Amino acid sequence: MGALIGKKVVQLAAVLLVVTFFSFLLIHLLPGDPAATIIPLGTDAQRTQLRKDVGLDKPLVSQYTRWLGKFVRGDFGRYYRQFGGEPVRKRLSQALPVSLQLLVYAEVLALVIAIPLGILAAYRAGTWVDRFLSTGAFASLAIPDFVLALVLIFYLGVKLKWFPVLGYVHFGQSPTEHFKSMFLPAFSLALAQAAVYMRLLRSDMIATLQEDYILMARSQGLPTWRILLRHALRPSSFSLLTVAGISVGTLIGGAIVIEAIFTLPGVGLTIFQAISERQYIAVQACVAVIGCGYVVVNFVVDLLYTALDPRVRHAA
Amino acid sequence: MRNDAAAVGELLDPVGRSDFDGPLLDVRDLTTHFQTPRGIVRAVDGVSFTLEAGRTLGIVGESGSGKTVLSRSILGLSPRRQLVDPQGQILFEGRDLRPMDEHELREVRGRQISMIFQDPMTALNPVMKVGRQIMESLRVHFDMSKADARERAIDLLGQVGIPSPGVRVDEYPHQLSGGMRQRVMIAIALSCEPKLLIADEPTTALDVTVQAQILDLLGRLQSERNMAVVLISHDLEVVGGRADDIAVMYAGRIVEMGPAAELFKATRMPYTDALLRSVPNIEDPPHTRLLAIGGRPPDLVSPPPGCRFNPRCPRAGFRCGVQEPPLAPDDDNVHHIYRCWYPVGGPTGPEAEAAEARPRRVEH
Ligand SMILES: Nc1ncnc2c1ncn2[C@@H]1O[C@H](COP(=O)(O)OP(=O)(O)O)[C@@H](O)[C@H]1O
Ligand code: SF4
Ligand SMILES: [Mg+2]
Repeated sequence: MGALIGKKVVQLAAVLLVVTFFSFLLIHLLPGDPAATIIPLGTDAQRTQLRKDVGLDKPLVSQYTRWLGKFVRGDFGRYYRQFGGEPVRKRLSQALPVSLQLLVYAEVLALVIAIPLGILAAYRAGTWVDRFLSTGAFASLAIPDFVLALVLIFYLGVKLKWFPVLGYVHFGQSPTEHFKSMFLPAFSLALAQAAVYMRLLRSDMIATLQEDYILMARSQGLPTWRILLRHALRPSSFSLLTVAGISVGTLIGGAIVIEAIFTLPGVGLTIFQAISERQYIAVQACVAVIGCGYVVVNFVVDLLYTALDPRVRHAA
Repeated sequence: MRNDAAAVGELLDPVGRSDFDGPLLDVRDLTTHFQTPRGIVRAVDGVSFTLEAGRTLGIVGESGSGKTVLSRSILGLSPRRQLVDPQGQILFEGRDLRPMDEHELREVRGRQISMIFQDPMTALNPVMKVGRQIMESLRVHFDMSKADARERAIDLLGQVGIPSPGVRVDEYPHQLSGGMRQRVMIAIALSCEPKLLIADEPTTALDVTVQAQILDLLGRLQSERNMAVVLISHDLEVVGGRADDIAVMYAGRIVEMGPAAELFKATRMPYTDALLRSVPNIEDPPHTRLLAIGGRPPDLVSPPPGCRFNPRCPRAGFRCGVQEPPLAPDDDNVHHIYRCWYPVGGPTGPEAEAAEARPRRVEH
């Protein structure tokens, strides 16, 4: 077990290096002189400052190590504006919690929708309930999340006025308003995800319900709900958990657009604004943060997976 | 070790009727047919038998003869959606289980009648500690607290001969050997002191050396609890010394049944005879046997007309392919019944038919 975790940590470190390196390279993939691209209207003095900040004159590898050194210490560079610019870190530290909240809510919402429906569809496999749920799942997969977001904004926000259509409320300010402000964005992100999870759980659960140990549980007179929840759910949830982890990547991608639509001040909106203002140093930092987050999430999922399946746990 | 039979005896629920004096299990004309894309599979076709409390009935037959379907039908565990017109009665202490819904059956399953399955690797939940798997039934049927159920689970593990049960209780099935797993399954099945245990090939998946240990354990637990057992096997030898009565199944029907000793001593049905004279197969994996006769059991979608065994029977006569023999008692012992026109011990089909066709000598 310990050796296994050790091996995984080494892998994690290697992947993090690769991810940060490619994020770092981003700025060098820009056509022409990065300094001119980032500060098209600024003064030469500003551009010189930028070159000095980034160390553009040094060899690539030493540029990377320098950048990485700053990155791990939380120095993400700064914005370059006509009249000074704030550190990227300041913006990111405000944006990150918002994005994390959005991701967590979306993931939880997706699972909360998918798990009961997946169990129900599997238990009633082949009946109209199952067909109804499957049709619903395919329909929600076919709707792009931003379209769903716009539809929800129009009906639930503008017409029924149940939810605010844009903006963000801090949890500390008002928990109810906070959840209200996050519900539509989270739901827009979650629905397609829920459909994927439901289908996955359904098929794994159908396979589990064919197992001898389920028959054994039935032959012992255990109630159906107990068999479904206590005996069948866990062995059916390994691929669900894995995909839920991997899907954080999909969710992150979706969140950028959703944050922009709902003007939620998260990392997505920050990247969105930085790209339109050509603040590539900020983009670079945001991409690296997101990339590292993604890798770390998958690492944690991998560990959880090990903890969930005793066969894997003891094989180590 | 505490006397657990007594401890649990206090918990006996009112469903257990001790005033009933008929047979514990009385199966009458049981029919389990499945709807399949190929047609209707007649897996169990009019099976009747009785079993008294504390006794052992062995059910023997080649793979595919309907033993598993029969045993699952008793507890209503056959896939309901596939069932076509289920017939017959399953009287357990006089109550018919056949028409019961899932809810009613739940009180019987595990509590009155338990099952153990062939493969202890697949029949135990791989992601649940064995202790918890035992506790589940106790918690449901006896409403036990977690702590009590756990204590009782440890007791049960000890009773089925698992060393250091206090440690094993927290292990997962894959941490145990095949024999240990089968013992765990027995512990689960016996946790609520059922009156009847159905053991469907309980040792087929185990090593030959472990087989006898498990069967002996079952025998011991059975007599300690005065529990009735239906012992199913494709191997007549496994059932031989342990069953009071033996039923031989072929193609969904009982073809011979009677007291074990009688069946061995005065075998009538040629199929039973073939089972008796089968030899262990050395080349194939353990537990397969070579029958003295060739061929395979018939397709249960369209069983052959007449006696279902006739295409393989070395004694078959013309009549066998036309008319099905009834399940009738032997002349020497009314408890010994079989289905055969030309039973072992008398003339074979061709001999008898030739004798009949020959014009009788007229006495002057
Ligand atoms: N759910 C089912 N649907 C269709 N056919 C089945 C089903 N279950 C069992 N059968 C068929 O019933 C016959 C008897 O099977 P089984 O009871 O498992 O035999 P045994 O236990 O004696 O080896 C087999 O031909 C099998 O294919
Ligand atoms: S009835 Fe005929 S075919 Fe059937 S077992 Fe007897 S002799 Fe063989
Ligand atoms: Mg079988």
